[in-house]
Amino acid sequence: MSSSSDEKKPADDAADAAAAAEDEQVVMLRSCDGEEFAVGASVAKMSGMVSNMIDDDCVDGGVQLPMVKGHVLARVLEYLNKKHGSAAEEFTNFKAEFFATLADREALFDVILAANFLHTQDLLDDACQCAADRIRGKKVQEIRDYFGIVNDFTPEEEEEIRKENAWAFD
Amino acid sequence: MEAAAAGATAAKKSKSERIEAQEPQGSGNRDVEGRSLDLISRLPDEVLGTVISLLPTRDGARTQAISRRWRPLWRSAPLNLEADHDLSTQDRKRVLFVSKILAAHRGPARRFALPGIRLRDRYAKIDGWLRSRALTGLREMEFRYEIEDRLSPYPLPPSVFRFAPTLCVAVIGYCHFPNGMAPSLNFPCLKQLTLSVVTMSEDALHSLLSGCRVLESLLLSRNVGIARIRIRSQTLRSIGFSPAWDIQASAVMFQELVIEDAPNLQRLLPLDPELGPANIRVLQAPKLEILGTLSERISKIELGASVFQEMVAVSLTTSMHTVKVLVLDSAGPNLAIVVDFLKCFPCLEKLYIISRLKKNMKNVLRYNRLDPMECLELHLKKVVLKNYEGKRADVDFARFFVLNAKKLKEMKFGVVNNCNDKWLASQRRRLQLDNRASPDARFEFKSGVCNFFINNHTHDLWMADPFDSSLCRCCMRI
Repeated sequence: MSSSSDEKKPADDAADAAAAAEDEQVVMLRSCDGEEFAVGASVAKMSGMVSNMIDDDCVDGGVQLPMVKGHVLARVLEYLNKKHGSAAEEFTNFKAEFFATLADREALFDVILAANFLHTQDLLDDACQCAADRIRGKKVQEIRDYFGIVNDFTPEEEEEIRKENAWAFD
Repeated sequence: MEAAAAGATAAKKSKSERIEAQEPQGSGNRDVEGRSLDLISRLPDEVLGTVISLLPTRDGARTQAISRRWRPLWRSAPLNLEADHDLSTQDRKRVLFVSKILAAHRGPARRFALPGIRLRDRYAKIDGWLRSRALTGLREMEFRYEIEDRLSPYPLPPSVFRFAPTLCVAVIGYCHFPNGMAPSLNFPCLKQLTLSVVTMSEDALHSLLSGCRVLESLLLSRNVGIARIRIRSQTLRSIGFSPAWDIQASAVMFQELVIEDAPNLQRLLPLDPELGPANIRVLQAPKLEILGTLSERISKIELGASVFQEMVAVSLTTSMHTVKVLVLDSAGPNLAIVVDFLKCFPCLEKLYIISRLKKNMKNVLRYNRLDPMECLELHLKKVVLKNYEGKRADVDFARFFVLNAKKLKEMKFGVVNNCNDKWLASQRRRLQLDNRASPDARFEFKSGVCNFFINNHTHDLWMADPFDSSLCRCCMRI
């Protein structure tokens, strides 16, 4: 249960405690940049992908996650551990704080991509909701600015879209 | 390695620091070389589609104009179509836009909401909407007419049941239910159902409910034509119910709700107890946690073998140890009556009381220390008393809890008059707060009139206590 960064991650502590308490199988998850996380099987199974591997008995040497960086995996595990161990209201409050601290766009999208890759449906749903919340209410140019999207329409194309969907534009 | 460590510690920075560091300055997120970091567009189509389908209708459609990558996404992302004031403030335009959108979208749909559609001569059009390919696979539906003529029929188009196989959330309101269809209906995915001011037969309701095998929360509000509601559900966790408002002489009154078998029911929520129903019977609800609002206008309440008639305990044979939250409307307020309820719920943790002061009410009950009550000795943590006037009857009522609830953590008073300092000082003295049984207890007085606890949280299963955040109509939060 070694970790290559200096501090012990909260995800590790919770996972250790949970796994120890339940005397269950511990799965080693390895991020693409070499960080390792020990996770109890009950939490690990919240990932559809890992769950399949556990069922197929291919987790003995640990699970390599080529698409997921260590700091992102840490956040994902933070969510999963909390979801596994909390009552509904406590978890709802946690979610609000969790996504608020993903204010960094890169972090949010990393989490979305990781959740998509790992098939953690609840996290994916919640993270998509967060992204939608950040789009809602913005004008098109504001959305482009906020997310750094380049407008590659010709003026004629853009005009055509606005006309076709006039009801949607102010 | 550095990047990873930086990432790990980034989460520990204060939220405002991070937001400041990351907010774009005017024209976009750029990396060190000044290239645009358009991260969101790198998400796969399906994921972007999920994000778009969570946006309000107009916001969703506008994403088509963001960039070429985004242009085709809205038409294939699961549609979220709500014909509300955001779509257009004009009724005629809303109808026009709905037709347009349904024609343009390929399907599938996530959500379709008509929060108040005027029927007029539009039945065929509305029916056509429901049959449209764009709504295939619908998961959430809201269908409510706006009633313009109370004597006309407002038929629910049977084509809504096309979505029965996929619906997870359904709200049906202000319409006449096609009773004949009910026996054949099956809703294998439906978790949340609201029927609000729906005219339907009792048989149709029960057929409908028996086709809902995974239902978790049920709101039956002000429906017309149903005398008795019988609940048998392995999955139901919360039920909110209230009688119809507008009863014509010959119409059927909501008489009785019976929980026959509900092994997972946690919340039983009479929403309008002033109106009834007349009887509530709970035969089996072994996980019941939250009960309320109860009032004397509910003539008879049976909880197992315990019976209350007009709130008076006639028999206290069964006690329900799982109940943690109780909401009572108490004329008086009547301490003896409330104490009997506490005997029925020995593990109660929160007690909410709406007090209705009666002129000659005398609350003389004394706590018998030789026959202690488990609730007061071990469990009761919170008492909320609304409509408090600070007169003799309600002072005596409240003081009973001050002096005897040993685990009390907080007691909140919603006060009718202004609580000036002089009044507060007098109350503190009369309530004997200094002699309180629980040294940790805190007492809070707040001004504002409130007659009842509004509960709009039948479906909010994530809330531990739906009465805790109740917003009073008078805007007083207690």
